[in-house]
Amino acid sequence: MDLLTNLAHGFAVVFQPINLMWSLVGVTLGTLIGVLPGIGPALTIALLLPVTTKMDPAAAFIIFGGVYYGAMYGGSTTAILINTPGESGSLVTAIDGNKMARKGRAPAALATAAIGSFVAGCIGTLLLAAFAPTMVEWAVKISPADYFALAILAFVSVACLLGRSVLAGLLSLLMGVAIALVGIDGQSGQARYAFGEPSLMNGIGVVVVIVALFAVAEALSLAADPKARSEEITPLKGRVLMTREDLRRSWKPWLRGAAIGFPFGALPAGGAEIPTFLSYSLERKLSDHPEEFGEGAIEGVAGPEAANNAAVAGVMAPLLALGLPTSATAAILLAAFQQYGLQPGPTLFSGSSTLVWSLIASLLLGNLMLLLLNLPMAGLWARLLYIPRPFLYAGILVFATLGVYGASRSLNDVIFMLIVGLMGFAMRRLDFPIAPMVVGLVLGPMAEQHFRRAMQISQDDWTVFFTSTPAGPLLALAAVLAIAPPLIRRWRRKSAQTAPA
Amino acid sequence: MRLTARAGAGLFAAAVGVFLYAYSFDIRQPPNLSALSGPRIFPQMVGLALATLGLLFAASETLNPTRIPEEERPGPFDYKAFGLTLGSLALFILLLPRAGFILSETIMFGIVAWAFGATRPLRAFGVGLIVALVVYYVFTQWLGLRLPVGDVFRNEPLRGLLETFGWRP
Repeated sequence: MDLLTNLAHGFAVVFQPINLMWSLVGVTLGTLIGVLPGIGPALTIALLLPVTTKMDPAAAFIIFGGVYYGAMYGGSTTAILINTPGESGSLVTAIDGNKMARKGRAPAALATAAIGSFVAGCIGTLLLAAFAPTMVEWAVKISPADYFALAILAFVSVACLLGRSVLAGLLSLLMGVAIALVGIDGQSGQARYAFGEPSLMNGIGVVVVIVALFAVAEALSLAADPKARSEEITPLKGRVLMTREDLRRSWKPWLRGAAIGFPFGALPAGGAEIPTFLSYSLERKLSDHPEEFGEGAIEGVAGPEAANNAAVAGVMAPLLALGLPTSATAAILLAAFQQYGLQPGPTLFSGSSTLVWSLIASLLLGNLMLLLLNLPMAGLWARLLYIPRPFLYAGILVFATLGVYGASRSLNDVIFMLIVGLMGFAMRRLDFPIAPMVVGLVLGPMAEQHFRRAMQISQDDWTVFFTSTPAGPLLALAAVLAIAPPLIRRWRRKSAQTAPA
Repeated sequence: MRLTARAGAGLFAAAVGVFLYAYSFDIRQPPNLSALSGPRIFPQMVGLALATLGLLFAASETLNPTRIPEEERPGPFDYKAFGLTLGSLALFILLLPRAGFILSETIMFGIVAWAFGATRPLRAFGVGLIVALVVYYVFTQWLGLRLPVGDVFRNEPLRGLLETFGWRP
């Protein structure tokens, strides 16, 4: 019953006319940036931060939530109509979605993606509402040592699951942590790695790094690589509807996708990519006609699209309940909370419960708005794909420089943006994953804070990390996660070599 | 066996790690905090981790380089487009304090559009000017951001013209 009362309180805030408008602004903006290739939710929220500083936090988070959900809806449009996906969560959708579009079945693909996103988004958000308070009850009991172990586990799993190799992911993550070290240490007031340079004393802002990695590095990589710039847009003809047969083949993948997506998003190993891959291979296994997969099977769009939306809802659970970001977008949302002086975690639920519940309620409402925005207006969104690419990328850089300069009115920040952007370009070019760096940037300082508090409590007894529960088991799990995948790969290679040909 | 670019990146990360560790001793250790709860310990941990993992990565890439599948490998490096995009951002940094927001953004927009293959350069700069004006107007007049207007727009006749439209730069 608590759940319903809380949700009712949330809806009371969301149904205020001004907040309804912000929700609409958020989901529209989200769909827009989801459709446009080259911009994602993390970059958009980073660019919105300077504009929303003077807003009521509830209103700002209603916008941000709408942007995050909307980007997932918009991303599927791009994945289906262009051979390159708009968001990493829609990578899998592009396989069969684009094949369907080429066979003239774009409307059915868009419909199953939008309705599947709606179904899974609602299920995911309700699960978030149901499970987050339980996570909070658990979270109030954990000590700084446990929290540090949890952060390490999140570090390792983010590094493992994104990108080709664990080591590359860990290096990317540690570079993010290293960038966050620059500036005044909050606990002791000492300057670190600032070398007497006043502009370095305040540190390098999260917004600067995110804009550098997602706008500047993206533009530079596309400029350097003409191959990545070539794309083919399949025109959308007709109204976005699905037949009874399409619906019969879609509803089970939607539900299964939601069931896979939410837990994967909620684990401290989050992100929307893994569950979409899992959902795709599951649907292929269960399908009566597996030969259609890769050639335009509707299940191959329905399942992964449901999975990525449920995963986004899942990512919100550890973010809100534990203050643990597991994706780049969650990391920037955490930075946004900190901008308002709020710390996600148990205290957020007790101290700002209205804010939390209105955010959750706005996500449910936003889902409905997104369905209405995306089904009848799909043709309008598809037209956005025809924006000339030279203007699109030039425009992205205008907003990038505006966002970074406007937030601080400091030219130094623009210079930092260019330097970090060049680093991000090199990382993209050399196939290092970017998202772990963002997670490291935001989670690193929190991990440090908990480490040092744990040391103060235990009076410098560092064995506390191994002897207390759940810290010890969590660290052991992190070690297994880091070491196991390369060993398994090596073992597989060995057994493949020794097996008779 | 040769040093690949990825192995080089590993060495770079290791160098950053060594740097972090070496300069951690420049951080003042306040007397009221112990070594394990002071401001040095975490940078040292990060430095050691970066140095170790960076070297490990460089070694594994040298002995057993990652093979990126053909279809995911980038095409030939387009130096012209890359240089123009990078240059336009550097130019923006030089221009902003002198020429102001609107002109700097217009020039950057035009160059980037040119780099990405805009066919009519004049139109690209025109579109850039419109984008910059709209963005400047919306962000300074509606959203309360302060952006440098630049000397060109402080010119009296132009300012008078703008003010007749109710716009105070």
